[in-house]
Amino acid sequence: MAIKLVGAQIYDPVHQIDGKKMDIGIDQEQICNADALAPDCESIDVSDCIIMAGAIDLHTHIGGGKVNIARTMMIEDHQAHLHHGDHQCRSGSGHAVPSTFTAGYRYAEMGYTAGFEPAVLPVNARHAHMEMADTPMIDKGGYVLLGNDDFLLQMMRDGASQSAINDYVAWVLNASQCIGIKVVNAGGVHAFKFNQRRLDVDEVSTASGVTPRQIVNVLSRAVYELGVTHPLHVHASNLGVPGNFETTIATMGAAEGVPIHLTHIQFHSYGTEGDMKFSSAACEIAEAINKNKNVTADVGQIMFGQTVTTSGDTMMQYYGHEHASPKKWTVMDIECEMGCGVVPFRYRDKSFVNALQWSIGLEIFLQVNDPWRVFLTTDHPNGAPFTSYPHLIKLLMNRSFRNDHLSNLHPEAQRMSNLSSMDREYSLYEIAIMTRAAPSKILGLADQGHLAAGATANITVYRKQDDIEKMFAHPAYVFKNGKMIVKDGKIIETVKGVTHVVKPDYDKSIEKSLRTYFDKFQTISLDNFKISNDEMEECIGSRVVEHPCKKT
Amino acid sequence: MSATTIEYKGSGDHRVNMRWLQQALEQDLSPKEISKSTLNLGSEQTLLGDIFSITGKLSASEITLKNSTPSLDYVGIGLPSGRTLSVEGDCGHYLGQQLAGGRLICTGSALHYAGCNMQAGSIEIMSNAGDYVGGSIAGNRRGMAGGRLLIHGDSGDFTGDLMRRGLLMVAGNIGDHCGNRMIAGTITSMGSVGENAGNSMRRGTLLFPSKPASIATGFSDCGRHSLGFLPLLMRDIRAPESAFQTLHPMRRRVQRYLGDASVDGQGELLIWIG
Repeated sequence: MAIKLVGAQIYDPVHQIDGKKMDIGIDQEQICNADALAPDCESIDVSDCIIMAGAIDLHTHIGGGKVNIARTMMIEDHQAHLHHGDHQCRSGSGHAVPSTFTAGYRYAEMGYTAGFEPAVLPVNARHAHMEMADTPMIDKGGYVLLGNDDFLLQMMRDGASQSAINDYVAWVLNASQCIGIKVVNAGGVHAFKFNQRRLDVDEVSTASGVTPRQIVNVLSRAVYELGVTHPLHVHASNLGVPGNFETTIATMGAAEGVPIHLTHIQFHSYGTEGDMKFSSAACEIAEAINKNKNVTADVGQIMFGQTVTTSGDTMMQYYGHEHASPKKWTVMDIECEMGCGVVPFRYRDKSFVNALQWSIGLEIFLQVNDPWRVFLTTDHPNGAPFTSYPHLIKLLMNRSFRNDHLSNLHPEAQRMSNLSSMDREYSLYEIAIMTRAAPSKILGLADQGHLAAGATANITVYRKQDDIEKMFAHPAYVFKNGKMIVKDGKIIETVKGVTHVVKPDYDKSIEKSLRTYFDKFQTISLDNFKISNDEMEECIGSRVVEHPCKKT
Repeated sequence: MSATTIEYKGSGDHRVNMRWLQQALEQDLSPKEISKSTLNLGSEQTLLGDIFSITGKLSASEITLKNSTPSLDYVGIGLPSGRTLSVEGDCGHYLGQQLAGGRLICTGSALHYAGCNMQAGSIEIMSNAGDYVGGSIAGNRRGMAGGRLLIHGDSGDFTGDLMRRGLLMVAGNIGDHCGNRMIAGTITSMGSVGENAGNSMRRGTLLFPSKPASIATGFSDCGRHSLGFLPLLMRDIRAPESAFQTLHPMRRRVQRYLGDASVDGQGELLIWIG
């Protein structure tokens, strides 16, 4: 079906279009030249609207074991937020950790058309993909976790060559149907299992005999040399520890110039100044990002209210469990590979630490000069549920709104923050970069995040309003693959997304040593571990879209 | 003032969520306003007025729910103090969940989770109740936290799961795992008790006329005692009209078991003797 969207202002940073009035044509599943459409095709007058590509969330925990644990643990969240089904949508529940259907619907209602789960355990990938396949409306993808798994650490201890490690990394990417590699507290989660409670970047883990720096280094090189577009996705060491900004900057250095993505960097930007020995190091971190062009980061902004933190970082979740609210938590071992920790959390604006965390996140947003290298996330649900994105966008775009909020926070936190002196206000163009153009670029989704002819017709139409928050919360229309799925903020058609993956080439002989390892230690056999394209489509229920790797 | 009545007129084919009554009481809505509001039945929507007819004002302290069936869930959820809800007929799940001081009387039976997470007030069920009476919905850290829950018939398994405070009285028999993970409070019965009583019990009192089918493994026999607090407890137990009134008010001889040692528990299981 062909549709013409007439008269809106277009924000398409990939093609440097900044608010120009243009018509957009949709032909079947793709965007086309509006003039090429037949004159009698359906035309929608959107002259009081702005158009952006469908938004992409590159870091959101929406599937996998820990999300499910969080759902069962946060019964209050689900009891308090029941969503009834109707003839269009299925029923669901939850706000901080919504059920799969609810997550998909809420994303679509905000104009998001893709979300990426950043912590897929290799051994749990099948479950994670099933849950993501169950999440309707949006496209999905996962980053598979390495860096605490026995096999890699053993390879490193044995002095394996970089090319052998590359083969292993590529094998895991292929077997788990993911689009990138993530490392969580490199080596630290493994060390925790052997009773180490801290591991700094250059500290040798007594259990594995390697340092986090070495792990980040070999993995970032592996990802780069395999030609995977998304750089190594790094959850750095010492999350949440005052003074951890030095660790974070050291982690950037560990990549030695190779592209690296630091995730939820707000949690890694703390200093130790002041009476409370807790201060903002946003300035140092932003400066480091500005200086090191190989570094990208997403912020992981916190918002006040009840949420639940879900992370693979057992070491730091254990460290934070005393602050659990409501008082229940878990950390657990995932055999051979990783760990997992779930700690409910209530961020309070009258708490000095929480107030400063809020301010640090915004300081990073405002001090990183290049919007192509900083991404809008709340690390859903760790900083806040993803439904707070419109509020976050307003905080970035409206200085007085931001300062009003700041003035209600813990007074000491206000004093310690230099947020009020920051004049910068994000423009719509920059928001479009942060939420569309840059994520599609960094993930290598060539056909998404922009509005040129030939792109997939994932389009969000916002009706212009004075209140930016309302505008971003309730788009006038959302199109997914050319189909109108949302009208006036309400879902009118439910669709299924696809799974984005990369499949780098590798030397198949790596399976020989892997088979021995699997037979000896793993909980399932090697052949059952691998997920094929057919299984993804027929059993798991999500079609695979493969994205090319760069040849290096 | 004439009593307020709410009559259920539905078919009972769908489960009906009675939370609307809690909201209507909080906002003091008129019967007209309530009749016009919508209610979800499965994936269908209906007007409340189509399945309930309401006469009188909701501000009245006594409300009667007529023609109740086991398809009505969450009857009397969060009922505040100063309110009495009389239910004529059977109830579904979660009867009197999070009861906040109100008085709830059900002339029939209730399904699972009756009085779960109740905070204060009293619930009286004339017939039987299902599993997890006075317990906790999955994921909560505490079950019943106060008030009195009286069942004239039998109760199911996991009676008093995670119970924290209050008095739970079952005039008939109790199922398996009675007082499971109990933190504190009192459970008593006039009939038999099933397997694994007192499993993972931390503190609190279980008071039964005969030994349960089996007691959790972490309990030790502490011998026969004459406990001075029992006549005091009997005042509360004998207060409402029930089969418990046949017990002698000064009775105090019991066999005492202490546990559950597997959770370092100090709970006591008392069996009447003599």
